[in-house]
Amino acid sequence: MAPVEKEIVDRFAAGDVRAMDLLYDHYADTLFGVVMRMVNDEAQAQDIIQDAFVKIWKQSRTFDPTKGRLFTWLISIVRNQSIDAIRKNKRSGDIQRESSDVSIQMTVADNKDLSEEHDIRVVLSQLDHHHKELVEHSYILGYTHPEIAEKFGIPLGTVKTRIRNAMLELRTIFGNGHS
Amino acid sequence: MDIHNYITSGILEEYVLGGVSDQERREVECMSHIYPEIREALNMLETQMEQFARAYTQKAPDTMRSRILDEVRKNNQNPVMTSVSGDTASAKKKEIKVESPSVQPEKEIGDIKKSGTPVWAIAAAIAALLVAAWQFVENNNKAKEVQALRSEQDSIRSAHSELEIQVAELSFNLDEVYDPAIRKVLLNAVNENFPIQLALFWNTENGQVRLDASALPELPTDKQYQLWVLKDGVPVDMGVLPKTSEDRILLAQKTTISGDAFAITIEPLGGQASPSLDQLVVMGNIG
Repeated sequence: MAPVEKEIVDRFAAGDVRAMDLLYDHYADTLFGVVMRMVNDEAQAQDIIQDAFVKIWKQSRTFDPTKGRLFTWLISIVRNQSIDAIRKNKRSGDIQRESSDVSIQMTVADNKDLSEEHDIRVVLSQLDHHHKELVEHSYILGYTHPEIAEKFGIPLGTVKTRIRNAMLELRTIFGNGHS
Repeated sequence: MDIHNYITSGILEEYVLGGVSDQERREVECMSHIYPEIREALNMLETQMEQFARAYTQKAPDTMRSRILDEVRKNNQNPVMTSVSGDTASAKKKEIKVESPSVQPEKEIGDIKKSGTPVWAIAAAIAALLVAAWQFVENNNKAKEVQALRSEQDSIRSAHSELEIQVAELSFNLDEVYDPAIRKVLLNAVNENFPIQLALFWNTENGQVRLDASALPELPTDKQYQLWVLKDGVPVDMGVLPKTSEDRILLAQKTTISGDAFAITIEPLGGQASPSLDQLVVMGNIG
């Protein structure tokens, strides 16, 4: 576990709310970017992140580091919060998820602090376009595999195989899981 | 259990992508708990997906930080036992509905009228109190029931993962039993102070030797059991047995593909190059 991750988890366990400051500084920009990709509206994205952070803090004692990484847990909460918000919007006629259906547009990093992420973008651009789209739909946009199959008009088995291949390609790109 | 098949089945990917059912999620968590290889594969996937998400990083507005962290500080952590999704629904306060009694106030009861409170209102208030009291007791009982069911569920869950581990071990042992290359050798007592017998499984193909050492009595801290194989009457070292082990079945440190007999002696800590024959505990000829 990375030192920051450990620090945050320890503070969760101790009931120390400063865990959230640390969490914000290390994950907010990434989570904000993911939500922006889903809703494409800055004000709404901020609201979603706020609700998600409140939820994260409330549930922080239930996080079990032996079951997985902190980030996996965080992104699942943020993603569900976004999907809930999108569903509410859909009801009022604003179909955001479909309207933002462009292939991944990596936001251009205009901030020097984000140079590291910029490198990741360059690395990721090596990923096969179709693979990127599938992983994005599954991981970021929260589509289920059957939904992806329907949307792209491919059989469910093929979706699963392609996602698996995409993961293998990612592994090659990132090396052996180093950070 | 073929771990490699499990890892390559794609279930771990679906788990990381959040596309598994509750039951599958528990299964993955249990398996990764039992098998370090699965844990490692899962960890690698999770790291990968974190890096993937990092590509979306977008600087959040500066004003967002204090707004969010202030909001967070208005809330408390939930206690550990509360399951967030389940409890919010059941915690919704039950509405206590008290219908006004249809009984009309009777004119005869004149003295009550003096107080200004009609009889039906008092009756309704008492009924409401009774219902509330009943609800309170009922809720309390339900809460206790839920608590009891939860702890029961927890103990069943942990018993279940215990069993998973045992099944995994047993199926491995069973594979061994049916392997034609495996020979079972019984080691019998040769020292009257140690009236014990134990079984040893020798893989004649790869030379590995496994034995169930649970029958061997504990030794003083400066002593250790050592396993030997006799080849043409000459004892050859097979390594010492670990002083402490969580596993019942031990794998010998060294291998042999030939031999006439196996034996175990008591030696000084760390073992010796040749056995102390007066310290022979058990021995068995390879039939």
